[in-house]
Amino acid sequence: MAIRQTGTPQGTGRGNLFFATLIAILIVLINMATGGKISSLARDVVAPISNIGGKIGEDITQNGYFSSRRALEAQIAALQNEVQQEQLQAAAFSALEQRDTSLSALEHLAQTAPGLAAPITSSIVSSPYGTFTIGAGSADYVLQGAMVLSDEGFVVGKVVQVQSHRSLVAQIFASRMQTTVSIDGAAVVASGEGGEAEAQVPHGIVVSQGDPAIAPEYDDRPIGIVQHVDSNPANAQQAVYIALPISLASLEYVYVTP
Amino acid sequence: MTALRIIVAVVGFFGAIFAPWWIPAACIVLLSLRFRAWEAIALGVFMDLLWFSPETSFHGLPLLTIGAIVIVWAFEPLRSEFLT
Repeated sequence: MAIRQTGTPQGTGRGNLFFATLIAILIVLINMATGGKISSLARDVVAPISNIGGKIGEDITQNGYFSSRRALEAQIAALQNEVQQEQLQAAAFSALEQRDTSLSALEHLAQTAPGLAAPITSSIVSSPYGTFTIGAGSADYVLQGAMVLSDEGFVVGKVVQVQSHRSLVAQIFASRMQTTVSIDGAAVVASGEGGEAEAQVPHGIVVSQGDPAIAPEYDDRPIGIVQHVDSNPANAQQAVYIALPISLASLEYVYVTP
Repeated sequence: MTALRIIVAVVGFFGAIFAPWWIPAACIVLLSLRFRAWEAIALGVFMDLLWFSPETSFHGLPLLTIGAIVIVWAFEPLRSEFLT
């Protein structure tokens, strides 16, 4: 049996690993204790790299080398966009109709929501936690917990961490995010599953594809539309799947409102 | 072999910024399988620093950091036995 001692290459490697583990734990603890100061620093360092990467990607796709593929992709995207737009308009109309009914009853409370448009400054798909960053922060009066809306007025996320010129947003459909929503009058909890949410609705309530899911906690704004209803009578309740009618990745700007 | 280690680490760090999250996660596993890779732990910490949100994480835990540490140490007996 080999005797391994510290000082041998193997021992040194293990020592380095042990040291790295300690440093990692220390960094995480300091970050938690300081309310995310190290995270803020890391995002500030990465932001320029992320911007340069985005520009390079744009240049590569626009230089003509991938033109035939790009043309096909553009055609598919245009057709998909057309379908999405129709779905979106129907959902937006339905949502507005519902909101109008509520607002006419509570007209005296209706106020215009102040806010600002902010660019999405990170990849949407890179985060294992369903988060992304926007280019507005406390210097722009963005507050923690502020709503993040798509240009059609759908709530796409919530500000969870604010820096001076940058904020971290948790997607509304990120895993473990729970939102109370109203679907066709039924108040249910939509649990995020990463890209979509699932809600359990009693069988007696008729839910149809395309119905909007309105979130009372977000000023009665829609968070998505019903994509699929699994009304298997063998289950105690019907499973309703809610998703945004647009791709988050297609958004460049979002509207942030407290 | 060092070149491979550097390439996988670089892919992991760039993937953490631009690519789907499973690419850096795969890099952490690959590095841990073959090397005593402190950079795998660094990659886990880096991803958590960039993207972590207590609200959307399991019990508010930095899963990538914990996962990287667990994987790196879990493969240690395997590396000791076969690769060194």
